[in-house]
Amino acid sequence: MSASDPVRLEMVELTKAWPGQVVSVSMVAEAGGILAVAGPSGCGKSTALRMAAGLEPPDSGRVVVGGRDVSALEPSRRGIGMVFQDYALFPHLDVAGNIEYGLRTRGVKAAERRATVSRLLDSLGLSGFERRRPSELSGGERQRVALARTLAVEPAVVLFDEPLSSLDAALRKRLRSDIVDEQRRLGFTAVYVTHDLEEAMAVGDRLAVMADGRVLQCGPPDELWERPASAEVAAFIGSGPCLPVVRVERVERDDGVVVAVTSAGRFAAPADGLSALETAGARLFFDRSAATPCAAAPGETGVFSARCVRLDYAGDSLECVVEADGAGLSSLRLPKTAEARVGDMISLRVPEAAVRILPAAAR
Amino acid sequence: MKAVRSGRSSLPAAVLFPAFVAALLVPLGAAFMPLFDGGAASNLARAFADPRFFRSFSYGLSQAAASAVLAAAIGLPGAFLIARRDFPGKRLLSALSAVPFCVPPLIIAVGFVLYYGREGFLNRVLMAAFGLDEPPIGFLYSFAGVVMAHGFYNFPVVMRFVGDAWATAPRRHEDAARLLGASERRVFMTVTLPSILPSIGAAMSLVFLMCFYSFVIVLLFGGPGVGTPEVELYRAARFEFDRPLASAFALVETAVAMGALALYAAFERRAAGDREESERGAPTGFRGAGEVALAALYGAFIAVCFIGPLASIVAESLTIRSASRVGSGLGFGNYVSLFARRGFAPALANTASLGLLSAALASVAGFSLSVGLKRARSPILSKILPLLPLGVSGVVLAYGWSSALGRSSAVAIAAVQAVSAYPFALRAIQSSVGLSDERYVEAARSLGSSRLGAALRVRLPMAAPSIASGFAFAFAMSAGDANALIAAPVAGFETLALLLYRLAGSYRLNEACAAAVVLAIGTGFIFFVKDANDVRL
Amino acid sequence: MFTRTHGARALLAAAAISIAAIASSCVQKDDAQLVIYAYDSFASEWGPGPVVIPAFEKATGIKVELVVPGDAGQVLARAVDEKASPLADVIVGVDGNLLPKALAAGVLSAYEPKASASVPPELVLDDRWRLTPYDWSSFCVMWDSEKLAAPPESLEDLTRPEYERKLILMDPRTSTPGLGFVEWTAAIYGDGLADYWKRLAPSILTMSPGWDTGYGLFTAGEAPLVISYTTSAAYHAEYETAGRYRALEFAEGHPIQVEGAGIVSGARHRKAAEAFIDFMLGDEFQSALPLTNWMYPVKEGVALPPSYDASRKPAKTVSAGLGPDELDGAVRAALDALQGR
Repeated sequence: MSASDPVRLEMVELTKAWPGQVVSVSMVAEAGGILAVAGPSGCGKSTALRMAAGLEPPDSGRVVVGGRDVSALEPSRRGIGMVFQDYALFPHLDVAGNIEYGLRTRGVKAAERRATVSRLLDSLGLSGFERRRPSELSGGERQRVALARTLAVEPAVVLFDEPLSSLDAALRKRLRSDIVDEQRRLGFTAVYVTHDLEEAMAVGDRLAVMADGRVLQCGPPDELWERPASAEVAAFIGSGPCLPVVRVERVERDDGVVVAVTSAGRFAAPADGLSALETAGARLFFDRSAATPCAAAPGETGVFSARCVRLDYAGDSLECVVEADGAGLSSLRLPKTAEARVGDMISLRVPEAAVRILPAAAR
Repeated sequence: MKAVRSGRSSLPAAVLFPAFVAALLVPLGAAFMPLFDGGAASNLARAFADPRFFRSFSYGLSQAAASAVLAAAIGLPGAFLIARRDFPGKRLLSALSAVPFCVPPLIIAVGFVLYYGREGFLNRVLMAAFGLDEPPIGFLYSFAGVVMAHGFYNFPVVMRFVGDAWATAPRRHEDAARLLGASERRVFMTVTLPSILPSIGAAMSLVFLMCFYSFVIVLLFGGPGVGTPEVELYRAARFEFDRPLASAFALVETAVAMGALALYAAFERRAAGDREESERGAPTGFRGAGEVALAALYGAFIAVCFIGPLASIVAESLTIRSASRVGSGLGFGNYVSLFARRGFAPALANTASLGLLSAALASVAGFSLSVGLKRARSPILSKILPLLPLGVSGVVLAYGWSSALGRSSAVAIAAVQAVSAYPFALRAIQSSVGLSDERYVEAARSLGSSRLGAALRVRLPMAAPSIASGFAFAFAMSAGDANALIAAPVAGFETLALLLYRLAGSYRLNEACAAAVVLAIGTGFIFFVKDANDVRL
Repeated sequence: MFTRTHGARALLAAAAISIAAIASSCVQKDDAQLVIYAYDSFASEWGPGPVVIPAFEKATGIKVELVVPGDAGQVLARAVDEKASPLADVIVGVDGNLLPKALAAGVLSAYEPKASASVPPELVLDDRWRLTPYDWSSFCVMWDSEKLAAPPESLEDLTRPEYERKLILMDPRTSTPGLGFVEWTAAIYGDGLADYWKRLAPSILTMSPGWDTGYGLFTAGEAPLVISYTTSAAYHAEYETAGRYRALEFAEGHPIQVEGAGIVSGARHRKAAEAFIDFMLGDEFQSALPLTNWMYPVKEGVALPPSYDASRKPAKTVSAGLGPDELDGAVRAALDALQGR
C-alpha cells in the first residue's frame, strides 16, 4: 500500500481558460499530509483537482508527483487516485467488483485480486461485504468502499472531490473524521476539496482558499484564520471584522508599527512593509474573538466602537453582531460575562497583536 | 379500478382512467370477438395450422428484430453526439426524432423509391458518374431493403431515447474508471454502456414494435409474397371475410407485441431508476481532429442515407412533369394546384381541429394519469397500462372502433389518435419536476389546498412546459396519421394526411409530395419552435 | 412574454373550439332520402361521385347521403355488419370477386333496371340482377416503351430471363388488380398455376400493397412493366402525350373486372334506391365514367372520349370461373410458389 513512502504533489501554474473564466492554480500538498481546498461553488477548485488527476487537460502548467513530472501521462499512470462526489460507485457491480475494477484493468490475476479485496475490506471493517450492491450500503460503508477502490491500485496521492457534499450535517462530521483517520493510519498524501470552510479547516493540515479561479492564500488553517492575506480571504473565512482604513498615521516607534484610522476607531498595527501610499482601499482586520469589552474611551488607540444589533447565546460565548460606521455588519465573539444590550453602543479593546492591515485587493 | 384511490381527491384520474381503458379495450374486444365464432380453440388451431401463420410471424419477427438492431447501430453515434458534444446543426439532428412519429410511412416509402430506387437519385448519379448501364444500388426490393428503410426511418427513436440517457449518464463514474486505469474503450464497455443499456433496450423494443406493425414498407420492399401478421390479418378480414381467422391473427399478434411492450416497460423502469442519482453535465466541443472527422463522416452518412430520401420528397413536390413524362421542370405548380383544390382548405381546418382535439385529450389524459398513477399501488397497472396503446396495431384499433361504433365519427377518430399518442404525451409530462417532486404539492396541501386544488394550482402550472411538449407531440402525431381515418372513414371529413393518401392513390404523386411537405412544415414547425430538447420522447 | 396562464387558457380555448368544430361537422343528417355506401376513390374529388351524385339529385329531387366506409371490401364488410338493421340503401363498387361473398352474406336484393337490355350479357354478373354492373375494364400489363425495347407478348413471355426484375405486381392479399392477375394466371394455367408463379418469381421486382403505389413505381421508372387496366393508357392519353406508356395485348386473352352496385336487402328507401340503379344505366351517369373512374361504361353505344383511342379493348376475354374458395386457394398457391414451398 501507498503508506510506505508518502510523496509530495505539486500543481504548478495549472491553467485552463474558457470564455469568461480562467482557472490558474499553484498548490502543494506535502507528503503524508492533507491539503484542504475551500472556496465558493464555481471557484475552480474541482477543475484544479481534475487537472491534477489528468481528467481535464490544462492549457498549461505542470503536475509533479514525488518530484516526477507526470503532466504528459495518462490519468491512470500518474499515481493519483480520486474519491468522487457521492462516491460514484459503479451501481451494476458489487462491492468486490468495484474494488477490483482497477486491478482488472491492470491485468492482475483473479486470486491476487481476491486477496487484495479481502485485505482492504478487512482493514476498513467491511469483511464479508464482497457481494453487496452499492445500493445496499449505508453512506459510511459506501465511503469506505470508494476509498478501498481507490487504494486498491496503490496511488501515491488521493484526491477527494467534495465526497460529502450531498450528505446531512451529522453524517458529514462523522465521515470526515473517518477520512482523516484512514489517511493518518495509511499515510497517503491527500487533497480534499470542499465548499464547506469548517470541513476544510477540520480536515486539512494545510488550507488553500480559492476564488475566481485563483488560490488566494495557502497555509496552515490557524494562519489563515488569524492572519488572512487579504480582505477577500478574511471575508470568506469570516474570522473577524474588516474595516475600511481611512488613513494611516506613522507613529514614532521603531518597530514598524503604524496607526490605522477607521471610522470605528484607531488601531496600531504592524506596517508589514506597507507604504502610506498604498493605503487606498486597505482594510483593517482583527480576530473576532480577540476583542474584549471596555469602558467607552473615544479616540483612544485600540478601542473599537460599534452599535450592537444582535446578541446570540453560543454556549461558551456570546455572538454579537455589531454595526460600525462605514463597515457594515460584523460578527464578534464576546466572553459570556460581557454586558451588552441590543441597541447600545459598545466599546471593545483590541490587542495590538490581533490586528492586521490587509492591502487593497490585487485587482 | 381498485388501484386508484377513489374519492374527490383523484377525481380527474378516477373519471379519465376508466374512460381511457374503455377507449382501448372496447375496440380491442370488438376486434377479438369474432374469435369465439365457432369456438376460440378451433379458430386458433386453424390459424396455427395455416402455413402462412408461421411464415408471417417468422418474417415479421425477423425483419423487426433486424430493423431494431440497424436502428440502434445508426442511432447510437447520434445519441453520443447529442448527449455529449456541442456542434452546429445539433438541433436539426435532434429534431429528426419527430420523423418516425409524424411522417407517414407511405411518404418514407416514396422517398426511398425516389432516392434509392433503380431510377432513383442515387443510382442516376452513380450511373452517370461511372458510366454504368445497370443501377449499382439494388438492395431496395429485398429483406435488406425493408431493414434499411425501417432502420433509417426509426434510428431517431434510438438516438433520442439513448441520447437522453447518455446525457445523464454518470460522468463521475467514467472518470473513476479512467483513473483506475481503464482505457476509453473499457470505460465505455464497463461503465457507460451498462448505464445506457436499459435505454438502448427500451428504444430497441419500441422500434421493434413499430416495425412489427409496419405495413406499406414491408409489402413494397419485402419482395414478392412476403407478409407480416398485419398483412395476413388485413387479407383475412378484407378479402377472405374470415373474421375468426383475422381475430386469431390479431390475438397472437397482440400477444407478441405485449411481450415486446413488457420488455420495453422493464427497460424503461431501469433506465429511469438509474437516472435518478446522476448529474447532467454540459456537452462539450469536439476533442481533437479525429473526432471532428468522425462526426463529419456520421453527419454525411445521415445526410446521404436519411436526409436524402426526405429531400427527394421535397424535390418531387417541386417537379413539374412534362406531358410526355420524358422531361420535367421545377416550379410551385403542384403547390398551386394543391392549394386550389376544393378539399384543401377544409382538410387543413379538419387537420387542425382533429389535431387539437386529440392532443387535448392526450395531454389531459396524460396529465391526469401521471398524477393519478403516482398513487396507484400495482406496478403492472401503473407501468404497463399506460403503454398498452403502443402494443395494439392501428389496423386492429381502427377496425375494432368501426365495428364497435357502427358509424364512426371524428370524435372517435380523435379518441383513437389520442390513445395512440398518449404514451408519448405521458412520457413527456411525467418528466416534469412538478410531478416528480412531491414536496411542492405537500407545501400546497399544508397551506390548506385540497388535493385537487394542489394538482390544479401547483402541479399543472409546474408541468405546463412539459404538457405543452406532450401536446405538440400528440398534435403532430395526429396530423401525420391517416390510418385511423382510412380504416374507419368519416363521411365528408378529410384531413391533410388523408388527402395525401388520396392524391398518392390517384396517380398524383407530385401533389401528394407537396401535401407531405405542407404537413411536415406544419408539424416540424411546432417541434422546432418548441425547443426540441425539452420534448422527451 | 407568453405566460403560463395565457398558454393554458389558449390551450383550453383551442380545445374548446376544436370540439365545437368537430361536433358541428358530424351532426347526424337524417333527412337523407337515399343512403349510398361507396368506395373512397368513387367518392373522391376526382372520382365520379361529385359528378353523378348531384346530377342524380337534380334529376330526381332525392337527397343523397354518400358514406365512404373505405375501399370496396370495407363497403361490403360494413353492409354485412349492418345486415340486421341496414343503414345503407345502395352499395357501390362490388366487383366479380366480391360478389360471391355478398351473395353468400345475403345483403343484396334483386332489382332489374329498366335499361337492363342495354348491358351486354357477358358483363351481367348475376342473372337475378342482385348486382347491376355500371363499368368494366380489362386487366393488362402496361409497358414503358422508353425503358424497354421489346415488350413481352404473353404471360409466358414474362417468365423469360430478359424480364428479370422488370415487372411490378400488386399483392393479391391487399389489392384488386393483384387478385385479378392471380385470376388471370389461373385462367390460363389452371393446375399449372403454382409452377408458372415459380418461373415468374425472378421477373417480379416487387408486389406493392395497392395499385397506386405499384403504378407510382412504374411511372417513376422502377420497372418497365406493371399490372394495371387497359384504360390506364387512356388516362395517359388524356393528360400526357400518348405513346410512352402502352397497354400490352396478350394473345392468351385478358380477364375483365366488372364493377356493380346493388340494393341492400331491407333498404329503408327502396324506391329511391331503384331510381338510383336506373339512373346509373342512364347516359349522364355512364358517360361520366370514362374520365372519372377510368373504366369503360357498361352501356353499349355511350360515346367514349378521344383519349380512349389509346385504350383498345382486348380481342379475347378469359375467365378462370373460380368460386371464392378456389380463388383464395389460387392466391395461396401463388404466394406459396413465390416463397419457394
